[in-house]
Amino acid sequence: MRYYELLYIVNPNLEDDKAKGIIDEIGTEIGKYKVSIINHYMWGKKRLAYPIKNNKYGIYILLQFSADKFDFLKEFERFLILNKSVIRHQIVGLDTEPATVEAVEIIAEDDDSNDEKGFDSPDEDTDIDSEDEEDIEESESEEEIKEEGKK
Amino acid sequence: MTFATKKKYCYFKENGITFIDYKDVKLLRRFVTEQGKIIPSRVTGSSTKMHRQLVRAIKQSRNIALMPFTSSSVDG
Repeated sequence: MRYYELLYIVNPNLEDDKAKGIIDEIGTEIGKYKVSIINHYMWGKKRLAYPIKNNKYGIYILLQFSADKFDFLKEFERFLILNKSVIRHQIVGLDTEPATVEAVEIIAEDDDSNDEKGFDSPDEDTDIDSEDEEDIEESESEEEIKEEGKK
Repeated sequence: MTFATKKKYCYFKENGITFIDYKDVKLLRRFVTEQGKIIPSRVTGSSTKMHRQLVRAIKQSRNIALMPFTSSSVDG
């Protein structure tokens, strides 16, 4: 018995219902093989570290499952590649059995971690988060300069 | 002449971490430079065993766009 974890990114422009439809779609696809699903839930919408197919954001969905044989993975990965709404996926083997989690809890936790407080070394994150603020500041300062110029 | 250097300790051993999850971006960010490069274990002081695991986790994290290959300021 081996444990696997599939994390895939779904096109962020999809509506919630459609994203849930994809969870079902992939759930039924993997259900065709001799696999027992442990967890399958939406991890949340996140900003991608780099753009994938011109998408800046992505909906992360996590699927953990166990299987006796792993020869189906090639076929399953092919299905994921051909699926147009899945923009990136990664299957990773796990050493230990993953604990079952309720989806709602995870999404709530995730919202917290997205806050600035959560990061110990927020080098890039502050950059990302403060971009908008900086823009505002810049525009303000520009206005000030203009006003001063007028005076 | 000798220089007094601060002894480095393995972060993972000190905090009792035995498994590094590639989804734990908060943790992985500590071991990466601003540009997104992996900091060598001789600088961070992490043990060889854990550093191997760490490198793997960071690379997996990069693949799934949780962490950048290069600085985010470069590619916007």
